[in-house]
Amino acid sequence: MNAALIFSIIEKGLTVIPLLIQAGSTVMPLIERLRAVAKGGTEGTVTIGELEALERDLDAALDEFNAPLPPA
Amino acid sequence: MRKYVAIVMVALSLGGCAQLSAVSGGIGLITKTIQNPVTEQELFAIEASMRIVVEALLTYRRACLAGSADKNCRSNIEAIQPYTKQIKPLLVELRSFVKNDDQINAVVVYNRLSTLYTTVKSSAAQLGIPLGA
Repeated sequence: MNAALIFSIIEKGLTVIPLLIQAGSTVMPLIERLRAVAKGGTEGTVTIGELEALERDLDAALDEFNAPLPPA
Repeated sequence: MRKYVAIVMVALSLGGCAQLSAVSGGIGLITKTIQNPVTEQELFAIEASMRIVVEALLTYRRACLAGSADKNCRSNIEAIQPYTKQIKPLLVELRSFVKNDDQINAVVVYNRLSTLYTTVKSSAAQLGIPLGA
């Protein structure tokens, strides 16, 4: 599959999300960040460092969710 | 009132996730074969999809710990964790296989992750945590 096509579709999809969830949601900064990376992929400007930062971010988010719940 | 606002925010977050899941799910999360290898772009697509779903789950967890989620939230989270705990080791493997162009193993791991992604979403939906279609 064409890489530019993939990134452009992702970018279009991410663009409409802010209209749906409104400002103030915790997911907004994340969506903007993913959109910027997708756009960078389309334009060929995304760096390995940006992709690796997203990987680390995903790993950290998984670790937080998977942590045992504290006693109620 | 504060609880109500928090619940609405969680719902809005999850609504957004549904949209991204729909977008990314239609792009990257298809069954792979050796003839249809896993590219770095598709690795990004599956990581982005996972990231949004995990963010939704994290929002739910944080709301649960803050006392603003539903009364079953703790058991819901514990029911999903066996699946989400499988994601990270598979992602680590997939990143390595894609970067080293080991497509035989990349395809196997990608398909396991894709199945797991669907399982997490459907399990969450069954528990009343709507993460999207």
